[in-house]
Amino acid sequence: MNSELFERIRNSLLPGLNLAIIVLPQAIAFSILAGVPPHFGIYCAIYGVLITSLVNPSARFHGGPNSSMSVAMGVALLPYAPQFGSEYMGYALSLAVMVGVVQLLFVVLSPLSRLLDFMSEAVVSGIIFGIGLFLIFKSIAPFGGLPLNTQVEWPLAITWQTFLAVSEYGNSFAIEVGFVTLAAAIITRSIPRLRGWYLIGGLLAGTLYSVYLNQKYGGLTVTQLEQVGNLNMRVLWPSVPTFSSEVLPDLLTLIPSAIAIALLGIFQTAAIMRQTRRITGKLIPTRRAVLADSIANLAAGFISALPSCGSFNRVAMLHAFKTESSMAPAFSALFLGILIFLAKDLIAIIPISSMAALIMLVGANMLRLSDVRHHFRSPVEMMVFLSAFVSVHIFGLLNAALIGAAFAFIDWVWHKAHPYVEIDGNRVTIMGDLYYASISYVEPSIAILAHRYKDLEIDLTRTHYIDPEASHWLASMGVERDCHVHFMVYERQRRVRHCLSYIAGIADDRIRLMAS
Amino acid sequence: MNKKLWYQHVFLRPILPLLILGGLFIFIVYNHAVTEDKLRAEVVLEPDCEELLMNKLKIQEDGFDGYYIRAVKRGCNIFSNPQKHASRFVRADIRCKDCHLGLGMTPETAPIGQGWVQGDKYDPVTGIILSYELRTMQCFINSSNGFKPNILDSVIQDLKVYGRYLAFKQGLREGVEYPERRFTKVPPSGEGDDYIRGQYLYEQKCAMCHGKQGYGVMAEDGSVIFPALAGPRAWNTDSRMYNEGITLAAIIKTNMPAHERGTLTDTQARDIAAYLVTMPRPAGNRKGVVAAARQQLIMRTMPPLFSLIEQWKGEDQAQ
Repeated sequence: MNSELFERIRNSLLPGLNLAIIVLPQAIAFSILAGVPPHFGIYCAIYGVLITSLVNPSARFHGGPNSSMSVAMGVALLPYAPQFGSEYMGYALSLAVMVGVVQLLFVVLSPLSRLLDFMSEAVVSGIIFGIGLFLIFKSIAPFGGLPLNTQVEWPLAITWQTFLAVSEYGNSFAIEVGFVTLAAAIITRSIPRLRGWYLIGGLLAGTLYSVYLNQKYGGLTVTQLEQVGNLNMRVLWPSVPTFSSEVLPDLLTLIPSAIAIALLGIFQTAAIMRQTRRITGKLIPTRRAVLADSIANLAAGFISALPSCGSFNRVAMLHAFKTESSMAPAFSALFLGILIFLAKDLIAIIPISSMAALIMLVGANMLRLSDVRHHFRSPVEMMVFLSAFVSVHIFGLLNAALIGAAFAFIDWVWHKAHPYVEIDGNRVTIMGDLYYASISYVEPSIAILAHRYKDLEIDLTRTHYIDPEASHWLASMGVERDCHVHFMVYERQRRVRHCLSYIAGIADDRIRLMAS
Repeated sequence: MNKKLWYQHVFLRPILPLLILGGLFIFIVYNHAVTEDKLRAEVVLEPDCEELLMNKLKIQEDGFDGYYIRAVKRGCNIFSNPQKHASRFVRADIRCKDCHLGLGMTPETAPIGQGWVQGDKYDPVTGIILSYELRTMQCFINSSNGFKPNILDSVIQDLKVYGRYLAFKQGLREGVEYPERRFTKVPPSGEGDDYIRGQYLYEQKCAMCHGKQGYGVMAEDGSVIFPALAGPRAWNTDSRMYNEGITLAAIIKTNMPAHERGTLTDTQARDIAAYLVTMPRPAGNRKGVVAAARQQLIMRTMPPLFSLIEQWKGEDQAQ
């Protein structure tokens, strides 16, 4: 037993260390996206990962800082207070708690959690693809050493203007550092052995180059390179989210944003859980994963952390290691804590343009055509994917999710309302469900037969459900034409028989019961 | 079967992304050089800026360095003709000087020197404190229905320098709220604002220059002769002129009609403002995509429809 435990620990150490190294630049970069100091992302990468890996029984699923949730948080809070200020941080903590409450509602209220199943993979892929592009757009200004424009504007228009601004008068030193970071990351990634270390490679090269520039040109006062700065970390940073009467009206207006951010987390977590189930073959309900996220997010408000949810690339790394124990994420939290305290001074001098370049790479990583190519095989799925993708940039994240879900739902309803109808002599077999909306689709086939035959057989043995309107329609069939209509059902089809006999009032002699 | 193609070789795989990066870097270096050249180039002033800066304020005698003087001149040029000097950020056919009279020097028409000395200011529309630069940026997205330049863009910096120069020339003190900074208030009359009366007045007094549908008049070179008051090239629904009728009424009362200023009564100015607010115009950023689509639909369909109806009416009367 002890040797088994020892083996599990040994197998979890290396994935844990890799995870810690990969999550560190993400934690800092996503904090900047959310408009909060880096320690928010780091606490999320430590405690968010720890809480989610402990609550969720999956060996590979774990939470942590998330790019899209951080972006959404930054966008939602932008009009309320200046970013990185104490007031803004108070709002950020309250928003994290609100996100946790919304996610908890999805766990507690089963009809709500059932709604998650209507969120097709194409919608989630479309949103993630859209967010990937959004991350690249959003990083252009810090990449060029320019301040972000502080108010909401058409995102695509402002992106183009920002690109031109960077190309015309961006900080040349920041741009050089950004390019060195990107180039080093691309080269590191192309070397198979170092593939998983490309973020670290880029960050290291960018930071070293910025140190060189500062030394050559006489320091930060000349280069004007913005840096991450002192992390001022403690083991734990207790905080209290703001829910005072003064900010309550603002918090009420933040509810739609909280729902949007919560849904973003839930969608990604649900998609990762589906993926994990496919790969590992182990059935773990999505609700458990959402519960883990909600607990982590409720706690985030009290430990100065970013909201947490599953991450495709980090879980993919654990898949690659074939991790069989949830100790790996727990070890990553431990390693990250140690790393932070050891390399605090090194982290402080990381240039912001390097971080922006990393965020661009993370965004580009989300734009993998191979991951979404299968959505283009079906026209409907393609439309769902594209509508969600485009909507992210036009209507915002929550509306993108709703529009994508609406398309997926319409597609589902459309297919439900079109049962397959087979005609053989005087027999009509209806395969699928019969709804009021299906009548106009089925009726022409039956009307043709009613002209030819005095005796019609409607085979309902492969019909799963008949709604009351369709039952009445079946009952009235052939009355005017003086045509005898019989219905064939299996004895075990209690729901269908109930609809025909009780709701539609069809006489028993017209219903032929068949043995199973 | 699984043989790798030449470009999939481990050393060649990063070549394409690195080439793209290199191309982008060269593009940025080139653009930086072009921008630097533009900032160092001598500025050809617009005629009214020439009159104000060279003849009236005599900027060349103030002892500023060339870089500063060029920035002031560029700022004045943008103020006078943003369609030419800040074309990337402007979509409306309206200039800064159309509201801020005297190139931002006339009291009670929001003179910009008085605006600059005030510095940071609480903005009741956005609900946050805005710096002078941010307030200038608001004009670009709302009054000009365009795009907001970055705060470090030379367009914003030049306008800031121009505002500071005007403040210096008028001997204004920083932080002081000068009463003439505001537009003159136009009090409501007992009769209330009536856009139908406003329409009649508009057709009598304004339509001859701004056009019956308020589309304004442009010269062949794209410069504004009479600014657009409505339609796709007018200010949008996020601007103060749309949301605060009192501002629009004040501008009308103080500035219009250009050939007989000061002849409109308070009620007439308010009525015309009420009518202008009902005319179709682009939706602002904060109104969202659906409102933008709705406004575009109204702007594209209603004017031709009204023209057609008036044409029919004319034909009926002729018969």
